[in-house]
Parts: sequence; structure tokens; C-alpha cells
Amino acid sequence: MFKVIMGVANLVVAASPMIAHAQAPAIQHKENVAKFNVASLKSIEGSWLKVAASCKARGFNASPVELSDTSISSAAAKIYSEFKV
Amino acid sequence: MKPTVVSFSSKEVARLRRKFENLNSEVTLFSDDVYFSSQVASYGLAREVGTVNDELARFVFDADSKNAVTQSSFKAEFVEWRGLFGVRIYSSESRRLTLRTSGFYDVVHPELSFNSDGTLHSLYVFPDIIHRIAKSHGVDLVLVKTWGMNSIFGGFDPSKGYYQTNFWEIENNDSIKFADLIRHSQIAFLGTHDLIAHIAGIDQSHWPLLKTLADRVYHSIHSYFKNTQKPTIASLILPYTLGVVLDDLAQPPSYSSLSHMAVLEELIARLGKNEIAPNQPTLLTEFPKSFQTIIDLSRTADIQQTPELYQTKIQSLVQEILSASITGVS
Repeated sequence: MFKVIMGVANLVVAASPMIAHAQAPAIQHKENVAKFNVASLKSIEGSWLKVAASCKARGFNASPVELSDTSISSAAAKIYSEFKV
Repeated sequence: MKPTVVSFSSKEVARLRRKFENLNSEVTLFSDDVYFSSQVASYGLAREVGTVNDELARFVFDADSKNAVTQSSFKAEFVEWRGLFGVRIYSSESRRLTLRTSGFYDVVHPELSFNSDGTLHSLYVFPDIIHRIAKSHGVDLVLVKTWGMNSIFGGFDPSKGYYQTNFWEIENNDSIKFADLIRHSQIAFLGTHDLIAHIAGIDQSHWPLLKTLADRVYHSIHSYFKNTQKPTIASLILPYTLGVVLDDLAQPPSYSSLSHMAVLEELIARLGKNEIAPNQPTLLTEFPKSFQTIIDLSRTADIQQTPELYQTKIQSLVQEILSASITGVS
């Protein structure tokens, strides 16, 4: 219930700068969704921050492992051979 | 001839940012202007190195202590060498480094970086060479304008995880953009994540399947939002989940993973049911807890053998979104 109340409060804040005036329905609809989206992002912020960073799109799903073979691939070796010191 | 250290003044950064901002298209091939692209990628790497956004650091170990090198000890400097622009990454803590993920050695210039005993004193990274390595696997490296503007050229605080604290990946429906790149054999190169998670260890033998999956993701999201001018946040969660699973599948350690593919297919099927109206103004009051469980399940070996597990969780995800949604009038 608390989250709902907070959400509605966020929606009121997001909507407050908007002045009602006649607009094309499509534009009005888009702006209406935008208001709800601003309030939604504000409302989910707390629960979003609890999601582990590793689960977000910018995570690398791997753990460090000691490599038995540290040589480079033949494709890379071929390219580096063109850039020798 | 040794690489020359290049200073990059704030004026030059501003020029780079302006040129990036003025790119004609959202996606620019590295090959269109390799030197400029190398500067952008090097700048992206340098901004992240040693900060919480550095995804390379946890794979760099000290050869003697066998411990991971402290993230904040990493520094970066720009270098020029034989007409290439790149970056030298080094640690103030150790000059005898080893790398602990497959493919990492491929993206570091061997002759310039190695000590005589096979350890590394520095990591010399030249985006032009990396672009050629990717190309040899049939993959093009690209710059993505909005991603660059939101991250490396954005006004973020490098001490904070910018991917952790802001919503642009959800809000911009980036999953469809990511799927579109992959289905066209393209990978963004703007920072440490792209380098270590997607480029290091790239293997063309997995790409035909990966591209097919990306194509399916692209079309499922495209069809879901077909008649939607501005999607609601509630409707973007399921596509975002798809994007995270696809991102894993585009990482060499998870290439062709049966677990990821099973979860991906179920998410695609669920999205096709249109249970969350993308067009109806909706107030979402809570981010669904099931999201993390679904990602964890996709990373669990052999999960495809127990479909009821992930099917139930994906159903819960939809249910949670609907329960936390208050629909308004248009």
C-alpha cells in the first residue's frame, strides 16, 4: 500500500508542471505516457537499486579462472605479426 | 620504436565529443573512420579503468601473490604507435600481471605488453588491431551514438556505477538495439564491458546461431511495440529481461548456452502473449523481484531440463508487473 501511495505522489509531482491545453490526441497520449513513465521510474528506483549489478545488461557473466594456456589465437597472432615492434 | 604517450586535453575531449555527437547515424562502423573510432574506444576504456565501471580489473592478477590486483590501482594513458591510437593500462601495484579469462590475451599487444618471463607489465590495447581481429571472425565493431552519449560522453560521476544507478537501458528499449546489432554481426566498442565481455574470445563458429537468436529477439520486441509510439516502463521490463539474456549469449563463455536459450525462448513466447499493454499509461510502483531470479536461472547449468522452473518464474515476472501497475486513462 505504501508503494502505491508513493507512486501516486510521484505521479502528482510528475504531472504538476503540465498545463492543460488543447492538443492533438496522439501528442496528448504520448505526453500522458511520459508523465506516468517519469513517476514509474521514480517509484521503482529503490527496488531497482537492490537488483545485483551483475544482472544488468552491462555485466560479464564469467569468473576469473587460472588459464593453463596463455597463448593467443592464430587469428590474433596473424594480425599482430603485421604490427611487430 | 616505442609507443608515444599522448596527452588528451579537455579541449581535445570536447572536440572528440562534438564529432561523436555529430555522427550522421546512430550506428557507425569502426571501418568508416578507424582513427577516430580508436580514439573514442580508447577514451571510453580510459574513463572506466580503475573505477567501479572497470570490467577488466577483476581478471587481472598479480603473478607473485596470485591475488587480483586492486581495481583502483589501475591507470590508463593514451598512446600512439605506428599510426595507431590506443591505450596503455597499468597498475601502480604490480608490474607482473597475469590475465584470467579466455581471450583476454588476444586483445593485448603481446610484444609491447609482455615481460620476458611471460607476465605483463602493461596492457597495450589498440582498438584498430582489435577491430581487425573481430573482422577476421566476420564481426564489425561499431560506435553507437546514444550509448556513447549516455555513458562515456555523459556527465556521469566515474566513482559511481552508471549502469547501476540509471535507467537508460530500460527507458530507451536498448534490447532491440542490441539485438539489431548482433543480428547484423556487429558489436559496440565503447568501453571495458564491450572489450572483455564480447570481443575477447570472439569465435565465429557460434555466430550463425547467435544471429538467429538475435533476429528472433528483434522481431518479437518489434512486433510487441508495433503500434506503440511511447512504451510504458511496465511494458519495457520483459524486453529488457530478454536483452540481458541475449547479452549473456553474446559473451564467449555463454555462447550457445542451452540454459540461456531455453529461458530466451520462454521469454519470447511470453512477450508474444501481449499480457502487458505497452500503450496504456501505467504507473509501475515496484521493480519485479523475479527479474533477478530469471537471470540467475538462465545462468544455471542444465536448466533447460526443468522447464517448469523458469516457466513459473517468467509467469511470476509478468504477474508481478501487472500487480505493481496502476493503469491510468489516456
